Amino acid sequence: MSELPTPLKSIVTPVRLEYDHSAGAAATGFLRGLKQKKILGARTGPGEPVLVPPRGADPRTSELAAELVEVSDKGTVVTYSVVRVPSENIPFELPYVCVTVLLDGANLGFFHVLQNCPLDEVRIGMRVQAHWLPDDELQENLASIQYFEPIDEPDVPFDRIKEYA
Amino acid sequence: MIALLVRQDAPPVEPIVVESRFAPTRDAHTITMENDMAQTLGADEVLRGPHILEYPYRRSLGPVLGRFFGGLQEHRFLGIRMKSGKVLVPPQEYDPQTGAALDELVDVGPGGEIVSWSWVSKPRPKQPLDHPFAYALIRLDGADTALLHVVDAGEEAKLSVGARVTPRWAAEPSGGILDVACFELEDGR
Repeated sequence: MSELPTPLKSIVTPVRLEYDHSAGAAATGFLRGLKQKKILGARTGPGEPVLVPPRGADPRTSELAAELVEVSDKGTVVTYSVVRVPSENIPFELPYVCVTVLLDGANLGFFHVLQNCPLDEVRIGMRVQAHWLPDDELQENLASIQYFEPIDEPDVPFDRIKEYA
Repeated sequence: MIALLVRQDAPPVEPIVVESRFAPTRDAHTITMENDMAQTLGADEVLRGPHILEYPYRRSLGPVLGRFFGGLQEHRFLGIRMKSGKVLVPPQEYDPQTGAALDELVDVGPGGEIVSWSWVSKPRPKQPLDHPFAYALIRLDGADTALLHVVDAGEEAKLSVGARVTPRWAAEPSGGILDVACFELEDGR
């Protein structure tokens, strides 16, 4: 055959899925709450664990978790992860920290981003609070909370949060 | 291939209608059920919106597919000869029958014939053409296997197994299988 062509090293092969997504009843209540600067969880009844965001049902029993409960926008870091890999849709400067926050009044970790905290000061047990968009910019989505940041409160002892860590 | 998988004596199959993303397909019953649940939870109406998941993968090609895609940019199709003498298109690095490494690249095409096709009557936004077309398995001249590509035939009635096709090359190659914009029927009907 004639001379071989110059090889290409790589090609772009994007994958794209477009969903028409229904938030479902449980998450709809949660999302509407965010627009009012409230974090709503749900439980199956008084004294039962508060799930944030609401899942519709208690995952342990499958019982309908229809009672909405407002929880605090303050909480305790129960675990975290330092992110050093860039991604086009992440607006934060690298490296940044993803945290699971046990919000006061909730019984399930809430996943978000931590800011305004040097990497070497992030720790399990530290107290944080949501930093919201200005009131007139709040939306029915999780972007209403821009990030969590440290607050001046004493750390929570590990024993009190170890079930969630 | 799809046609080959349908039994000849099978009853006609109801067509599956895939609506576009601009016309949500959820039926009234489902929406009512969701709203009933929403009222239980104190919300008036269930929120909904677009959710787009996209990964802009870049894949490395290796020595064999690298030549194949490099060839497309020079308006050439390359296959690779298996140990049996048959020619695989697109080429692979290893013989699928014996596992032996392959290295004998050969020119094939550019013309070929349709082995099978599937008509796309309502193209979706990211599909290769914005008007009805066929996805087709095309056996290029000199090849023993078929390449999946697009045939711009205008209407389905013009297609047949064995119809001759010829490539229409992309005006500006961008690296990828769509450096062949599509195939056209050779006699231009």
